Amino acid sequence: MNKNELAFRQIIANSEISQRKFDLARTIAQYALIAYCVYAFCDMVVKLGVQSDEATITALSKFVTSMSLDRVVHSGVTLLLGVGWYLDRKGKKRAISKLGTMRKKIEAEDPHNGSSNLNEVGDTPSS
Amino acid sequence: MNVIFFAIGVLLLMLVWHGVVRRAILDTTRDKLFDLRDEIRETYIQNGWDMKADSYRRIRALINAHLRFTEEMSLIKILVVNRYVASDREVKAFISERSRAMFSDTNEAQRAFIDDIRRRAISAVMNYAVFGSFVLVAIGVAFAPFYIAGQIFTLANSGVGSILAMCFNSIIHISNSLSDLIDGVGRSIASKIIGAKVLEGYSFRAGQASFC
Repeated sequence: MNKNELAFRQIIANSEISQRKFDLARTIAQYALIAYCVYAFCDMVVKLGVQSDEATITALSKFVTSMSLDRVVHSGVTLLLGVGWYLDRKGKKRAISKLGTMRKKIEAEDPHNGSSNLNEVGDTPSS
Repeated sequence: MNVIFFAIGVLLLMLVWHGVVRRAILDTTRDKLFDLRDEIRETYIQNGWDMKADSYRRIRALINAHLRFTEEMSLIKILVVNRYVASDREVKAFISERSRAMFSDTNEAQRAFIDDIRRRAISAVMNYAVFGSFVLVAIGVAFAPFYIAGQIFTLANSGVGSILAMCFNSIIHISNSLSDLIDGVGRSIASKIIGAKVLEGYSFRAGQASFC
């Protein structure tokens, strides 16, 4: 291998290392955020269950006021869009799979029919 | 209480970005690349070009590498590669030379066709490089009005009629216009981050490496 080719591959390897460091930092931040949400939720439950009536009512009223009607509607719309997207995606993946099978048949006799090595639904293989 | 909802909202946003939007962008990019691969085959057959030729094998391998690499691409990796390549003149010259020599053994018609395919393929990959990053999408959305203004400004010399015609056509063909706008914005941003030849060389090597 030529020395410049080697240098370029070294650069690509360096980019991989930087990506791993960034991914690690992002994962830590995500878990910290999840831990904070769980802590805050537990804190609220403890206030509801253990503390005085006044504190219970205050915590409950805060929760109810924050669950406004428009927020519930927005959540419903988001959920419906999510379900719609999922069903649509399932259909698309099925079409990709059929198309891939046809492509393979058509290209079977080609002298160079190298594959992208993606799986049958067009995703990167998991391993 | 609002802070909790905000934190949950941020987590959901991350989930939607990675689980829905980014996947859809990846699929769109791969659709474009698969279409290009089919177009190469059809053109070779229609023109009676030799499908046993090395040029056919190489251009197909290039598209396959792009197809395989796109998902792994990220802003961080691109910035790191660009920074190192920019600081090493020898490697930069080597990448340019390899890119030029890759299809030097083809005839003029084939070369023109392959150059066009390479340009469109790298344009699709560059678009993914931009729109696969949440940060760059945010920049892209902010940059879009300036891009539209720039397009209108370039038509300014042709008169008001041309500008109105462009606006009218854009509204009638809204789907194509949006697609062109996204491509244009993506290309403008990507070209400021990384050169097409470097990205092609990077994608080709990284894509081929993942076959092993």
